[in-house]
Amino acid sequence: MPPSAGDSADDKAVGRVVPATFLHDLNNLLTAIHGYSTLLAADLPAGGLEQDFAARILAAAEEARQLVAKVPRPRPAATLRVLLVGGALARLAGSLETLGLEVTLAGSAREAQGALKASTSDWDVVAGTAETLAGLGAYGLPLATVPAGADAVTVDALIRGARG
Amino acid sequence: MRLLIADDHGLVRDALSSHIERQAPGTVVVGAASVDEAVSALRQDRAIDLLILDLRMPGMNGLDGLQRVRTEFPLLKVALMSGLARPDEIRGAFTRGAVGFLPKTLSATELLSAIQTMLAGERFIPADINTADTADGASFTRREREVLDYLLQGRSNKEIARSLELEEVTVKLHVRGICRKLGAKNRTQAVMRAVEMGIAS
Repeated sequence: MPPSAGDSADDKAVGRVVPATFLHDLNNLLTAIHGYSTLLAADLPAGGLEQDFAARILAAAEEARQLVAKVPRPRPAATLRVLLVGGALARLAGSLETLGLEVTLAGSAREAQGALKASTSDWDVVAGTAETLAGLGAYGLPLATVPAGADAVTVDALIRGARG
Repeated sequence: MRLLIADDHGLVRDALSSHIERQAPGTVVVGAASVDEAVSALRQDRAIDLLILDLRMPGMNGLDGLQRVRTEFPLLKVALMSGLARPDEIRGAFTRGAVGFLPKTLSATELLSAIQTMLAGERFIPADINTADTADGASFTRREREVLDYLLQGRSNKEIARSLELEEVTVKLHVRGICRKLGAKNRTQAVMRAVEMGIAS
């Protein structure tokens, strides 16, 4: 039986040299396939064979998108690591990661205190609302005070500003 | 609602237009294949509510195209769209006044919701575009990756803490981060999901 794609070292090596423009074009084609198969699946009579075919094309396009997402891409060499304190800011964690931060979420000031007490070397900045940051200044890390309700772009700027 | 989608791939423009016009009846979607075409369209049609600008197309030159549009049309809402943007490019777009970043992996419903968010005056930043379904584990922090390796071995928080010379509370934070990134409700589900996705040392 021939080896399947992805099994050999050679396959992995090819993945590393795929140019970004190729991935961009492939992504665009998949966007079109995904988009039109979604429309087709919605328009064709429910339960029919044609709708099933459209659903299969859609599933294949989705899988292909995931494969593209798996292609290794260079990560920033120096990422800012932030301990984000308080459940109210949890909603921002994913968006802050999109903006390039490495986020660890502490649900409360107490949890953050426990983590910082054990080690401060895992983070560069501690961020939270004024209320959650009270008492966290003793650990020697820069604090970024975030207004409640601020969006991720604002919080990202405050964190980078606190780091200096 | 009037939208201008600037993308050099006609298939992408058409697919997005079809989706948006279907999902939001009454919406008019205009297309452009370059920054020059987008600027011409904007000069002729002052009623455009939102410009969606592909990051990699003729005239963009990094984020220069966005800057050009923002300079000539400072009141226009502009969103950047890309399948492969780097964090510094996304941050740069917001610094230049973009109101949103739209990954091409958004579903039609999510795209429309994002457009409505931006038109309502808020900025749209999706959760980490590299987080979900990245089997290489690149989106995990170094600590999360270490903790995940121990989770895959069935170790308890206490054992992991001892091995990594951390406090249990710290391990708990990293387990939570792993669960969030894998979309898992608990550590058992996280391990199952990691195995399904082929994440292993």
